Amino acid sequence: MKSAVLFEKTKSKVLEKGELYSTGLNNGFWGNKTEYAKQLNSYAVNYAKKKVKEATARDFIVSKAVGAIEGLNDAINSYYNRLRDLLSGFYPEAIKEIKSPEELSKFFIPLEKDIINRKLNLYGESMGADMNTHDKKAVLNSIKTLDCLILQRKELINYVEKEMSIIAPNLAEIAGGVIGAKLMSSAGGLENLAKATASRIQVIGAEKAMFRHLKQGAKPPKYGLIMHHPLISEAPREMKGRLARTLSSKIAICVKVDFYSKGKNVASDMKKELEKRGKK
Amino acid sequence: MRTIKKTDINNLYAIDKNLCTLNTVPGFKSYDEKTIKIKKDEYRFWNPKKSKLAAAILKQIKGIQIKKDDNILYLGAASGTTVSHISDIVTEGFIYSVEMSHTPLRDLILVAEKRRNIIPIHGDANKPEEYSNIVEKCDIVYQDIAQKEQTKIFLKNVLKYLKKEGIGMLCIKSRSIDVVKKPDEIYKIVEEELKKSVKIIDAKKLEPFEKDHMFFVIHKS
Repeated sequence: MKSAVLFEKTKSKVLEKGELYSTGLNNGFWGNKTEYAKQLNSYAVNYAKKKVKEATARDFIVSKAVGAIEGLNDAINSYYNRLRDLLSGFYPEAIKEIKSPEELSKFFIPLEKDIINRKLNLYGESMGADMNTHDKKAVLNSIKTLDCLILQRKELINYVEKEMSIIAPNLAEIAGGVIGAKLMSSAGGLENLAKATASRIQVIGAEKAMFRHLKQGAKPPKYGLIMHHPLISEAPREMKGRLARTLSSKIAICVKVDFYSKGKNVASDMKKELEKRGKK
Repeated sequence: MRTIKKTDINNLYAIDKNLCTLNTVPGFKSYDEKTIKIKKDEYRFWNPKKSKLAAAILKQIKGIQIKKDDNILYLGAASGTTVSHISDIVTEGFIYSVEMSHTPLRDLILVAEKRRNIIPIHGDANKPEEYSNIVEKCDIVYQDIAQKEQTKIFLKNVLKYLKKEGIGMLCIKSRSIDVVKKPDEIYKIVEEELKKSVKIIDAKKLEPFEKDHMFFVIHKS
C-alpha cells in the first residue's frame, strides 16, 4: 500500500481535520472519501493486528497452559471425590485404602468381586450394595475418564516444562517449570517478572495475606507460590521463611538473566548454593 | 405496533422507549446485541447497562451532540460495544478507538474490519503523542477508562486533539480512583481539576444503570 507512507510517520504537530485527506488527494493516493476511509481503516487494522500478534508471545501461551493445568486439578479433585462417594456405596471398606486419585483405578480395575475382596482381606462379606452389570459399566467408565484426566494433566505439565526450558531456561531450572510458569502468569508475562523485585517474587500468590498485613497489621506472609518448591516444602518449619527469602532472590536473578541476556546459564551454580544452604 | 421515534442524533431512534441505532452493516452483529427488523431497516438495541454513553443519553445529559461527519477520539474502546453504535451514528466521520490491552483489542479489530469508519489503535492513552500519526483534530473526545489518573489523561488528550469549540465526554469511575473515599468527594476533586482548563456543561450520575459512575460533558473554548 503506497499510502502507508502518509500514515507511518508520527507528526510533531497535530493535523487539522481533513488535512490528511487533502494531502493524499493532492498526491493521488485516493480519489474520494470512501477510498480514503478504506485505506486508513485497512492500514490501522493491519497495524493493530501486527501489534496483537507480537503481544501474543510464547510466555502468554505458557501462562494459559498453566491455567489449564490448574483447571484440570480442580476438575480431577472434585470428580475424584464424587467417584469415591459413589464407590463407597458398593465397597465401604475400600475407601479407607484409597488416598489419591491415582489409586482409584489401581484398586478397582479389574472390577471383580473376588479380586477386590482378596485385596481387602475381608472377613466375610462386604457390607456394600451388590453390583449388577449396569453398575459395573457406569463405574468402570467413570474411573477410565478420571484416568484420562490424570494422564492429560501429566502431558500438559510435560509440555509446560519443555516450553519453559526454552523461554526461560534459568528460571525453569531453579524454580521448576510449573512453578516458574505460574509465577510468570501471575506477574503478567516474563518481562514483568523480570522487573519484579525478589521480595515481590517471594509473596506472589499470597496477595490476600500481603494486603491483610499492609492494611490491618497482620503478620506478613513468608511465601506465596514458591512454597510448592521442594526446597521449601521439605524444609523444617523454622527454616521455611529463611529459605523462601534466599530462593526468591535467586529466582529474581535468574529471571533477569533470562529476559535481558539470553543464553547465559547461571542457574546451575545457584542451585548448588541453594542445596548447600538447605542442608545447613 | 411498535412506535419508532427519531431523535436529534443521526441514525439514533427510540423504539418503545429503547434506544436503537440503525445498523449500517445489516446482518452483522458487533457483539451479542439484540436486533430488530422493521420494514427494510435493521435496528440494533443499545443497552444502557452495557454502554455508558447510552446511559448518559437516557439520563438526558445536556450537550451531547454527535453529528454525522464528526471525528471522534475514543479512549478506552475495549471490545467495541459502544464504538460500534457510534459507528452507526457518524457515518461520514471516523472513530479513532484507542485501546491498550490486546485481549479486548482482538474483538475490536474484528468489528473494525466490517465497519470502515472505526480506526483501531493499539496505544496508551497516557501517551497521546504515540498515535499522532493518524489521529487528526477531533470534534469529540470521549473517554471511558478505569485508571487512577483518568482526569489527567483526559485533559492531556483534550488539549492535544480536541479542536476549538469541541466537546469532551468523560466517564469517571470513582472506584478506580479511590475505593475508600466516598464517590461524591471524588467527583468534586475531578470537577475542580476539570474547571482549571475547560468549561463543564453538565454532569450527572449514571445510576441506576451504573454504580458509582459520573458522566461529564465539557466544552473547550
